[in-house]
Amino acid sequence: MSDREEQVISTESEPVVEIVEEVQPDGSIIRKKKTTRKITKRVLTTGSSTLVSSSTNESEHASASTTTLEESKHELSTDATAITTDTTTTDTTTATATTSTTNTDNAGSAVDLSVDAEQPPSSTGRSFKYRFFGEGDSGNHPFYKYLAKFPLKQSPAPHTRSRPIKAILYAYAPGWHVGQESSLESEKSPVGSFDVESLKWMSYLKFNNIEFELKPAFEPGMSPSGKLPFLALPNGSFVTADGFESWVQDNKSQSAASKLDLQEAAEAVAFIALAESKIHAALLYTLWFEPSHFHTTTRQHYFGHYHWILTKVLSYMEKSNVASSMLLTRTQIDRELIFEEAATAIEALAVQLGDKDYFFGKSEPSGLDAVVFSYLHVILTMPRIRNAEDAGRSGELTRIVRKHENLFKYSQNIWKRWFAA
Amino acid sequence: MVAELYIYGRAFGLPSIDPQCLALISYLSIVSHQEYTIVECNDTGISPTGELPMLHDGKNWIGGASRIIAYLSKTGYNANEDLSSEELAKSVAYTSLVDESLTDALLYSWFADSENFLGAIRSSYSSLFPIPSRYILPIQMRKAAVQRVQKYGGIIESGALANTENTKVYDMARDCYRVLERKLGQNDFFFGAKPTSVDAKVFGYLALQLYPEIPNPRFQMILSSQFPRLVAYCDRCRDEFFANLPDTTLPSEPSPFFTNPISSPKEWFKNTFLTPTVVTSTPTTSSKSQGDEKSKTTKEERDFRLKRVYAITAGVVAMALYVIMNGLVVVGNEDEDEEEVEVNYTGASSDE
Repeated sequence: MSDREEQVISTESEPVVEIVEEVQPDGSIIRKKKTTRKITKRVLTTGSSTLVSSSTNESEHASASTTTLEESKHELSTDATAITTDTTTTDTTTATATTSTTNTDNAGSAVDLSVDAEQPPSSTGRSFKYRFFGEGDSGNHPFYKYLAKFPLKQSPAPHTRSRPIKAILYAYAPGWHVGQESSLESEKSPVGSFDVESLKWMSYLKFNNIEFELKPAFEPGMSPSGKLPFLALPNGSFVTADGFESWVQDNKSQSAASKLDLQEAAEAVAFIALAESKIHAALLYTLWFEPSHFHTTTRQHYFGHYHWILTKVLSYMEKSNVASSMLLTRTQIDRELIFEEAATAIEALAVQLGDKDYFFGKSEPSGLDAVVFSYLHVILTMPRIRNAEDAGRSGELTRIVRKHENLFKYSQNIWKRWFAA
Repeated sequence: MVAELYIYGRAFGLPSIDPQCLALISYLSIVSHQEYTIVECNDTGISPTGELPMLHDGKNWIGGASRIIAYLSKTGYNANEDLSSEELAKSVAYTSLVDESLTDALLYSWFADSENFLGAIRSSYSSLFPIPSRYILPIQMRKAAVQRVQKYGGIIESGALANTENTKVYDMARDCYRVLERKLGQNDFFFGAKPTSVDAKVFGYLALQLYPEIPNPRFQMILSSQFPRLVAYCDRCRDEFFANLPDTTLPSEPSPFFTNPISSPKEWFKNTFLTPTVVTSTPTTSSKSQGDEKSKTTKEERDFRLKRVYAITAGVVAMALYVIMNGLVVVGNEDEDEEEVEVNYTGASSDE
């Protein structure tokens, strides 16, 4: 026992390891460790590991520890031990294994360990034991006995999630609960969206003939970018707004959306900018700043899945976000100017479209069609609100679009061909 | 009477430092010749919408470039008369593209790039403003601008290497330039041989990205190396629009809108103390009968002034009370105070 006490003290000090490599005449390299401190530590661990394994056989165990001690002293005299890292780790695992299982057939294992124990196990496992249970016979410790009554069992997983076979689009869905789709239909398979950005993604994917599964989502925090919509791919990666355009270009099938020539592409960029600035502002104003819309439809659609108090709080927070985002590009939110500009923009789109099926007279829709259709569809299917206080203000944007019959037909045709079918 | 155009003052060898003001000057030089004067006022407080340029044509005060252009087209100064409806639609689209992309590009290079802001932009802006706001407004403008261009990545510190910064904003600007160059083609101006409102807008932005000498002229480099046709277009526009600018004058009458003492102390002093009668009798945009209007406004104004006096007095009193109660300024004899302190101190120490 006096040996052990010495060893405990010596472990407190940090072992200084010196590794010397010697090339033997036969070509093999022998690594030698030279340090007295290291060796006393080794002796200590021998003692401790035998300690763990021995629970009943006191005398045998004691003799085992003394033999190892002798061995290590012998090493001390020669000052050299050839070790490899691999054996060190295996030794560590055996030591911890004995600690956790607290087996009773220690006679054999104790001898085995004493032979193995030339190599030092990790110091952390040992110090943990000492810290909590002292250096007494930890196999007999009541805590271990108690733990042994609850062996860990591993059960097979009851349900493993199968990999999706096609991309999943998480987006605000389905559309406003009026107009084209009935509620029954939308419960089975949601189509469309009340959110312009979501609808834009859907139509862009559909126009490029990319298969996807739509999952309604209302929590922007679930997206890696913090914004809905986003795509979850079968290979486990995600596509957010930043990489969406390039992802679609990489994955679209050959026969998909029509190609624009350079001049048309330039014009498409300009018209997309027009829709995303002017019409967007008017739509935001209608949704968030017309009280009748805000208090009923907008709030319910974006935050209706929460408790009603949260719905109120979050919708007001979002409203102030919308206001500050609008104020980035203008000095004041001037309803008259916003709607005037939106009317000009919509008229420009109507003139540009003419009586063709898609923009620039193509037979298949392009990216510009995805953007324009999303705005028009959301505006046209917006719930109509009739009350005295509102006095038709909330429907102004819809009325502006309805003035242009070709835009209405255009939106309707796209919905019928790509979504309703 | 002759219309007056209120704008930000000159900088970088251009008539104005602001793209919208430049656009308006260009527009006016397209539609009318020498029928207006320029007022360099640099104070957004005098505008009804809080933005410059502002147009005052004798009876109406109109703020904001798009409103002014809409107003001028209605009153017979229409630069887009010759355009067909399709061209008009395209012109609307290009205008909004320029308003979005090129504004972002300009704000990014001027305000988010510390090197440019500290090296050139701040000094150019502060030379326009009077003393107190000279130190406040450029910082405020920077804050607002950086917020707007946050999506392209935040502020670039000066000394940052060119290859480590993100290229999102430059890609965006390059796309926009490419679109414009394709649209321009071989024409003199965007829709043929005659300049239109799109030309005014585009030139307003391009001029400020092309001509100023700033420490980190990335957009100037992009334009002059990759888009020579746009550079030639800008030179053509400069000769065309800025050839004979009208003289700058002082405003003929003070603005009826509230001017605050910080951004324009002179204006405010004049409005509040020197010419109270002028303020009240300024013709407004409404067409009600003059006498009725006058008595009504004076009553309202008297009320307003009374309330203002109350508010200021209450503020000053509250401030004084706060200062005294928190011991920032101690009223009383100095010696007494010292004694009190000593007594407190010894008392505290004896307890311990």
